[in-house]
Amino acid sequence: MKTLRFEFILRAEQPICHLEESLGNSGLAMRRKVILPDGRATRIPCITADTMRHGLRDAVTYSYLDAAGLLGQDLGEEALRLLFAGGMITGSAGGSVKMADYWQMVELNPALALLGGNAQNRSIPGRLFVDDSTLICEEQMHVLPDWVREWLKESGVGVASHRAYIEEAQRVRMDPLLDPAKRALLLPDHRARAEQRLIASETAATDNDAGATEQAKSTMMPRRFERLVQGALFWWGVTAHILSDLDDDTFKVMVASFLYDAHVGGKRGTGHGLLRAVRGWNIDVRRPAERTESLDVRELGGQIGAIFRAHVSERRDQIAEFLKRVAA
Amino acid sequence: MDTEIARAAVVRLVLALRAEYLAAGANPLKHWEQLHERLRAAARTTGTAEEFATKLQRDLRIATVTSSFCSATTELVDAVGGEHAALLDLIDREHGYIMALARKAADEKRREAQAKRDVRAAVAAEEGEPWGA
Repeated sequence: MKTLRFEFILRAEQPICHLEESLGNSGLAMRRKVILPDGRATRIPCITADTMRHGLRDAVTYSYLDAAGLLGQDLGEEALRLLFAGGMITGSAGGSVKMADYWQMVELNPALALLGGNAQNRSIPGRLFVDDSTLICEEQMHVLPDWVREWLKESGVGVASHRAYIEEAQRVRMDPLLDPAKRALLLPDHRARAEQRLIASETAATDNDAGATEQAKSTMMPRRFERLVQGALFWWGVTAHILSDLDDDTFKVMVASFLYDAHVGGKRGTGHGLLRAVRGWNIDVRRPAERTESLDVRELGGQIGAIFRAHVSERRDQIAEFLKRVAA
Repeated sequence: MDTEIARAAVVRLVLALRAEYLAAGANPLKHWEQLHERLRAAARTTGTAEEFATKLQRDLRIATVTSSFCSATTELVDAVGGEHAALLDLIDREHGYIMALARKAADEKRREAQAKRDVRAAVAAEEGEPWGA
């Protein structure tokens, strides 16, 4: 067994809208509490390990289904849940999986062996350890590894307080009833009702009647959300316990296919979420010494995947059969 | 930074902004909610006390500033003494408490004003003058 770790510097090519909660019409960015070297506590934006891990699972699953020729309409609900969300324990009604079945399951889906999940009423422990994406900012310089600090220095990248990397954006859901051209498309009685409401709204505003204004207001809805700014940098790492060449290749397929088009967080339909790896670091952990080497992230996709694809492709019929009967 | 002094300065800033916000036509039923939301957002998305006060003013759409806003802002900046992160972390952690202090202060001011009006009315009634004459 060996332990393989990849670390990356990721850059937000688009703003990242990764929220932890909403209060009223405001979305609050995901943050985690950090104790600074001076003992002060602060909350710093991050991209959670769950998000990154889900991205890895999603990406490798598409690669898996592609290699198995199953990107058509071939999956049941249970299979979809297992592949894209890790499945779920189905309760006492489902029988626990036998060891032979378990071995067959991870043989047929090498990514499942790394990621773990829940299938056939059994929790399958994974061998993949994903970090939060840590925002590279003044307050977190002390936790960054040397190679990240050196890269920042060599690249002449200045680092500011975490507050500089977050902004608040506002968007408005428009009310089409406010547009006379669109109102002209309404049925006569609907148009009359809409226009009565506009008059009521005007009257309430003139009379300074807050209650009536509230009642007659349009459905236009301004909403705000915090987002990490475009250009923010993150340090992210992922580690796997590798048992075979297949594990090694599967791990690399997973990381490469995720980073090829890594999107995280929400509002992806409106220009948010794209992350790009700008620097990678490959750490082959061999205790007690570690061998480390720089990783050209552009090359990561090109050299890997042959073992993974051959393994999956050779077992495509068994995989299709397994996915039909899996309970997850 | 003295936490008590900084907190009191933020409360004064909130009260100054509240007066201007209401004078600018804010919905009286919702203005506390708006102030609270804008306070929290400004603390989370700015880097200095100066930026914080400016974002609050801009988000509440207050076009012109009054002398009370000016003195509250400069008092706050002085109270921070350059420890901007400490101030903003404090507001982020305690925005509910800060708004409670502000609202309590506003209520007390309103009660005091009402009491003064009551005294004036009582005096006027004793002297046989119509109230407000």
